[in-house]
Amino acid sequence: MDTYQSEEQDAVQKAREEGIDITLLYENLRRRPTERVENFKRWLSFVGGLKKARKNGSLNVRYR
Amino acid sequence: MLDIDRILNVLEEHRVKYIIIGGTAAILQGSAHLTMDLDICYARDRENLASLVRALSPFAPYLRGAPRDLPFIFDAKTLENGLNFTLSTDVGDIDLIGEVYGIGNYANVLEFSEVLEIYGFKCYVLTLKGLIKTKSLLARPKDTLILTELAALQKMRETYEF
Repeated sequence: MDTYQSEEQDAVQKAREEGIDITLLYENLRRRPTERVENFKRWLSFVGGLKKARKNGSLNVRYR
Repeated sequence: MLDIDRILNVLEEHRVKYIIIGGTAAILQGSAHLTMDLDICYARDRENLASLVRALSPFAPYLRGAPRDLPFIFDAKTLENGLNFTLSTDVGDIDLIGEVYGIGNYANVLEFSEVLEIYGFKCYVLTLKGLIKTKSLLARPKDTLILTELAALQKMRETYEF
């Protein structure tokens, strides 16, 4: 393994060890920028929905 | 909710000179992090300040976190007298950044940017290299968290063809 490959593996390996899901990054990189934004907007919408539900009291979370 | 396509639409329509930075730039570069606002670095020449004001005024911008009755006039003079503005608008939270920490003003940030096509618009976006540079220097806990991911993304982009 040359130095370049070693460095590449270090950065990705470090991320993996810190709990970052490399498959998510890989899939994101395969998407076009607009698709990345659209994906992000779907998440924002989901989070917004959760916030609204919590505010309205319609989100019931049970902790064990 | 942040309406990115609408914001980009008006910025392009008014020919505003801006660069997408911060969390949205990270997402555009492949990050899996979430952000709730749009950060842009803007050119501070008078013509651009006027364009920026024309573009965003219809969305009733006011200072985020400030009482609604606090007088705030969103005009070119206000922008000229300040540098960074954290705004709430009808289309989401927008941060206007005059200087990016560790990189500099619009012209400096441009050197760390690349053009990405978003919703058909060709937009300048801070590169992974630029994001890593500024976040390394900021070194806040939230920046440290994302740095490892950005470094991995950079290596993956250099190594594989996407």
